[in-house]
Amino acid sequence: MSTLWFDLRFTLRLLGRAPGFALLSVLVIALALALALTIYVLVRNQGIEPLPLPNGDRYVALQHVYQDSGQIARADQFHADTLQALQSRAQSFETLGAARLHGSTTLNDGELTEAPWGTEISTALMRKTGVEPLMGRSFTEQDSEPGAAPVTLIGYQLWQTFFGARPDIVGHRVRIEGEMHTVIGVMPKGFRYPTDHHLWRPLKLTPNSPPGDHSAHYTPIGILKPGVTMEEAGREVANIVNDLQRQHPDHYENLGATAIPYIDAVSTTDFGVMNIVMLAAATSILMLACLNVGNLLLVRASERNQELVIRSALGGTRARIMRQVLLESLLISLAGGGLGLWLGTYGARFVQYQTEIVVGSTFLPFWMRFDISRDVLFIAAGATGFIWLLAGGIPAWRASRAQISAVLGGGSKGVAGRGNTRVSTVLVAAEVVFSFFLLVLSGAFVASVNIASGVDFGVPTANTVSGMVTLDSERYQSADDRLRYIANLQSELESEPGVAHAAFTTVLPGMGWWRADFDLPDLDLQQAGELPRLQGIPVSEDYFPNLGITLLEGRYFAATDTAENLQVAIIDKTMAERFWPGESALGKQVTINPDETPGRPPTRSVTIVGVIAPIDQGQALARSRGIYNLYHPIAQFTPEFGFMVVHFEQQPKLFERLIRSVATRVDRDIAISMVRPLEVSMSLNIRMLQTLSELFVVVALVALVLAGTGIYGVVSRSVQLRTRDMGIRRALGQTDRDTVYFFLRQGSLFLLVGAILGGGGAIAAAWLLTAEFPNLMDSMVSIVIIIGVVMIALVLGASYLPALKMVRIEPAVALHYE
Amino acid sequence: MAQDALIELTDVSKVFYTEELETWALHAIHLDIHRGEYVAISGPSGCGKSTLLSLIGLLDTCSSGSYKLAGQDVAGLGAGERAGIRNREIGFVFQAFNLIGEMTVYENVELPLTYRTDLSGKARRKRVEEALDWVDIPHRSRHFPAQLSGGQQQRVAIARALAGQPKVLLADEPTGNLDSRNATMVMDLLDQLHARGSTICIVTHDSASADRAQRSVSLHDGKVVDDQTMAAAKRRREAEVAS
Ligand SMILES: Nc1ncnc2c1ncn2[C@@H]1O[C@H](COP(=O)(O)OP(=O)(O)OP(=O)(O)O)[C@@H](O)[C@H]1O
Ligand SMILES: [Mg+2]
Repeated sequence: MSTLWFDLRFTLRLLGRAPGFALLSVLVIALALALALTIYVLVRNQGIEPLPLPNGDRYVALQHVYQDSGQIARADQFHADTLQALQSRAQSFETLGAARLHGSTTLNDGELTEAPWGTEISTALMRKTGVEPLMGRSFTEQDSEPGAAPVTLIGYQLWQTFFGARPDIVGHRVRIEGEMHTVIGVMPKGFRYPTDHHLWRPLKLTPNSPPGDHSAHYTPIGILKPGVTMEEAGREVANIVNDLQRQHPDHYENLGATAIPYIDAVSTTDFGVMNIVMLAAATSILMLACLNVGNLLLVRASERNQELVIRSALGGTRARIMRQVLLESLLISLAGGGLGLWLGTYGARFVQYQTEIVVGSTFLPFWMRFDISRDVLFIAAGATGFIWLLAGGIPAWRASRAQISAVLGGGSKGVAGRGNTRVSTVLVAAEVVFSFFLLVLSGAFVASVNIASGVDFGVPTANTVSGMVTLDSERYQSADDRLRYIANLQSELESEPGVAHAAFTTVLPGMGWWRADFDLPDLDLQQAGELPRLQGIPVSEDYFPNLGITLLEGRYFAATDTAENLQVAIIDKTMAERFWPGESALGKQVTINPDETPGRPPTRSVTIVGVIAPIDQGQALARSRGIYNLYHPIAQFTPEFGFMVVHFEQQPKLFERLIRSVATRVDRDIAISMVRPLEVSMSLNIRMLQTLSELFVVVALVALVLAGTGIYGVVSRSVQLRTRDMGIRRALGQTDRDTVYFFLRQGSLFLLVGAILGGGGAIAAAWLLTAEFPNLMDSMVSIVIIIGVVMIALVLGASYLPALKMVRIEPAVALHYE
Repeated sequence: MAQDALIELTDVSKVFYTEELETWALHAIHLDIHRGEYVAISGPSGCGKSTLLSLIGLLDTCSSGSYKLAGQDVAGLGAGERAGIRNREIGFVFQAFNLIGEMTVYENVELPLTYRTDLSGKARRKRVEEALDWVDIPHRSRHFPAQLSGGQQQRVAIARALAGQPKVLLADEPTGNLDSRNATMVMDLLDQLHARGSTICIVTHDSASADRAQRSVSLHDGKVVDDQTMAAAKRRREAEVAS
């Protein structure tokens, strides 16, 4: 113990004597760790962690699978009879319930109508969360019996805002989806199970629902029995649904079933490959830091060579000498780790801030966490330990193997240092490779996001506000009712002073929408078994003229484009020029979903009546050139949700209140949600990408700094070690130019290796990712050139400066250099 | 006589291999050093003196031959065991002092003792203080080596070598970097040590220093060419001068 203190005291003194070295090492570790933790916090919310519920690791969701394509249907798709069959037969689950995951619930309390995210959920699932209401009572089994009095639980936030935190809330009666409900309790703050819900009603299923009762659909949620895997449960569920299919082939055509991770089923943002890219970037940054600190420590160890050899001569065992060297790197790693963790909390806050803006704080799934919790601490400790052992271990090992007699014999300075230089060279080469990789990849991402965010959507946004309308309740099952509602809302809005006009669309520019295959009867489009794809977007008659979208040919939609008349469509210039170059597209037929499969939207044929200027409808980064836009009149294709786009005569002020009150007037059980300027709605689509882009800029900068310090450190060390050497050469007549050239050549070698392995690797990675991020390769040439120039400047600068410093020393001085 | 030899080298050779070149630094050395002996090793530059001392001090291993230290065969020991023996049985004094610059005088002397597991902090302190007293530098214990003169540094190095109470003290040209006054002072210290019964083995070029030893071993090209008591050596030198 007292010898440890002896070693520690000495180590602290050593660090104090080399503050530059200590500070640089600490900063390198801290910076890399903070960045890696930030990325982890961003990524961990995508299902890396189990749900923060009792037995959170055993939650699964069941989904239908289309048997022909094997594709999973990610939506509320199960009907009551399937659910009941599963509940009575499946053995894999401790609890199997269901909830409606996707959808708003209209809530009306006299004057006000709102559409918070609400769900109908099995009472058993609610109980399994173990969360008790803040006030009032929880659901009981009786509440879910058919015919039981309608009751609801509300979330804390809803109570605070919509209900003005009234103390007599329990027992209060409120209209939900057009029916009076009694509020029986308020759930505590932060409770948003099953994802981002604020209102709960018990799921009421008619016992023994007949197959074909399609009045409602749900997502089954199961808690696995201990020891049962998700795959086993999935197989059991698939077998049961196969049985049902045999009994009722007409109802289960093409439908299979499987179990998938809970978060996958409910999460709307699927980062997928992006997660892997980000984790790879985080790992690379940590590796880079590791190499960097390893190098600094190696240089350090060769500076300490004499001391370590003396220790060995005096009887220090290898273990003791390694302990001594590792103690120094431990102190550095701990300081760096601590600082990195502290900086990481700011990174996490940045991620939280950005996510809340993008998702909206009320839509944040309940499992998303941005705090520095145990797993973050664990990763920080792990990464720090890893850096310590790898970066500190190699120099310690080498130091403990130094040749004692050779060094103490005098006059043989740098004998062990030479060997370290060789290891250093390998480390620096690796560093340059990693830096190139990170820089090129980050550069490609930044450029590709910039392309995406700088895009002209083709829609003027001045003085325009959009709000989302959902018409999926029982009262709006008929298309005519939905159409009537949309028409009423539009005319009521237009009658308001200050409103120029209003129109309806299913998607806002930049949002992306469902895709379908299509074929053109007069052209053979089937290529290698693949059909081109389009986004079919229903819009109201005056959507294009109101937004000022130029008509290039034919006509806009008209009041006569009703369900009974000819099925028509409008396409944009891009599609027209692609398929009918040099001729008119008017009158041409488009067949959508030509290979009709059960369970999918039916085949439909439309005739082109107009061609407009292009509007960018695709999702920001996922926009791919192969997908075309085709517009339907809403009378012929009536969606269950969409956006009212309201154009004001001038910059509107209290637009949200105006639009909401008009909506309440039209139907008090339908609320308009997400009312905001069109510009904001559209920019939110790329906001997350911008966040990612900003992160990648930081990654690139850190990579640059790490590469720079690493190369400078090693080259200046090798210059130092060769000072005597070079002094002799110069004494014998080597010119200064030759001397500088000698070191530049070494630097150029690093560059070449780095560019080929790192840059090449990054280009290969980017190329592999183009399926997800189509414009990743767009600016690759300029990126490679820019980064090449930066790296050349960096490496040659880092080699040139120390070389120059040496040339300034007179040969006579250099000869006596130790 | 062989049974009470402290150091027993039998047929020891040391070969260095450097880029296809092999250097026979030591060639079939036979050398016994007894407890309490004071041996001076001399010879022309490059004859293998330092190499021999390194082997004796277990800083390096023999290429062939056997080495018994206090009756124990130490030629085939692993690095860890050799480190332990260096720490407990052997004290080193080098020409270049080899103190650790970032440690105080006191810590330098304490350092080898911290490698022992059998010494408490208190026992260490006692030994360090005694050793510094003995070389007469107690008042400098908080200083760093760079703040001392060469002679003082070498005395600290001797204190460091003695603090571990080794069986044998090895010194490779301990006065090579010192002026004659300091050299005399260091040699006096070694004399006193010898008088107290220590075994000492010193490499030196300086005949005045060599004369203080009891026994002189001469090397030439890695071989022992002469090994006799100082008295005999002196007699022969006088005879050579006379003739
Ligand atoms: N590490 C080594 N590698 C290769 N050869 C070595 C090594 N150490 C010593 N030698 C060679 O072994 C021989 C003996 O060297 P040593 O250092 O023992 O000589 P020395 O007698 O101490 O000389 P000096 O009086 O100059 O110190 C020399 O020829 C030397 O070149
Ligand atoms: Mg020598």
